[in-house]
Amino acid sequence: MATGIHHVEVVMGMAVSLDVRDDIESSAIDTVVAWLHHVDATFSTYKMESPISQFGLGLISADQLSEEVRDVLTLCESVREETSGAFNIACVPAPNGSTLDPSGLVKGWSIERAAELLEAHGATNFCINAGGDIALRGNAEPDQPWRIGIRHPSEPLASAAVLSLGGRAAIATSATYERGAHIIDPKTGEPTAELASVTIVGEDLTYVDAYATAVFVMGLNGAEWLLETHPELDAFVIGHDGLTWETPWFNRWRSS
Amino acid sequence: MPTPNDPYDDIVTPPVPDEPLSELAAPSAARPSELELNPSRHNGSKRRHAAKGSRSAALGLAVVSTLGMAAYLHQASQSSGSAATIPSAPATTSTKKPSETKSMADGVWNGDASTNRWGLVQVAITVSGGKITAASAPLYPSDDNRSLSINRIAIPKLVQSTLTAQNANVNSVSGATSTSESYQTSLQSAIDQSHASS
Repeated sequence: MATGIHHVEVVMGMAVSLDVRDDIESSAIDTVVAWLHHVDATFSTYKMESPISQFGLGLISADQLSEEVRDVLTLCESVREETSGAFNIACVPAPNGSTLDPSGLVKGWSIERAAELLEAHGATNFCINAGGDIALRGNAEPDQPWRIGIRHPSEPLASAAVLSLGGRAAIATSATYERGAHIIDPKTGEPTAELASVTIVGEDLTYVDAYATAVFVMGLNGAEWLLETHPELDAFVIGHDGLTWETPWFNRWRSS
Repeated sequence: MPTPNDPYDDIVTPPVPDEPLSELAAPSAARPSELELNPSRHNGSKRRHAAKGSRSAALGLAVVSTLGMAAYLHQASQSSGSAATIPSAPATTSTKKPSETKSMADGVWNGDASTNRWGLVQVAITVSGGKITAASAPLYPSDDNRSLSINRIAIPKLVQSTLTAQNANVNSVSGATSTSESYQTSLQSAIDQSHASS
């Protein structure tokens, strides 16, 4: 077994775990870490000097934004339209005082880019976990795919489901486990509480993460929306009443 | 079949059973990318798993297509066990789109058993008020029992279950937290340590 590299970086207000199972140059990790800090510096709504804060507060104009920032904002807008506003980066006051907060998409987008960086450095078997949202490639061990747990909503150390994922996969869970935590429905401005958690499985964490947020806001209807509009994705939804709902083919990912 | 708004109206073109897989054009509900969303479990066997994805998709298509053969459905005798009612008509019956003017009669109907490359597939539907209200698959290739819920594919619906808790070993956890950095850091480091010491 290759020794691989484990690295946990606290950045963007969360722990990002890089679990690489190939023998690669440590400079690959340095590159990813530098990228994540670049994303933080660019998109953080906690940093008043970040371009996203400056733009959100009207201190710079759109044409002063880098192409990268404009691309992300364009992506956010397309997801907002597609989800009929359930995903909306311009609704709730951000920490910087503006009402522009693309964090809900930036996280998945930046981790997907991080995965591409690792691949460019020759890594083929790795798992990146950013605050519970995961982009992975290849296998955990030779001939053994990654075993990914979906957190049980009320038993933090247990899994509500264990999946076996390999090749190229992304999985994201939107939830409010702790008291006081909340996800705001952009349409009402109120916290949504219909579901305990929503997990989406797909290939590209950019969308998987954003859709997990949108479906969480939409509730069970959102899972049906996903089933109709994105049959290439799978969803696993946990209600507060101890019931779960899953898309018809979600079961294929369950670990045996 | 029923009204112009019928959701199955546009997927009523059954495949010829021995048609090549690639010819099974995806129905409106299944995008081509669905076939690609099948992370391989092993690097060395990506093709095998990709094939499994296609296979699942094709099986789904077969079921949906069979469902489309409503004009050829036979009313099942519910008391005599519907699964035994396999018509002798060849499964390869060429089908045309059922007349738009026909409405569906209420009852439980069994479709002709249709052979695809993995076995017999048969779909039963329940019609109530002229609309399909339920579908099941009395017959389908058994080794796909675990990975597919055929009846949910025929009429895509969410599958409901009861929440369970597992304490199996995992490499990583999705949804470890959306808010608590300390929790996430702690859990992830515990996971990382467990791997480092294994």
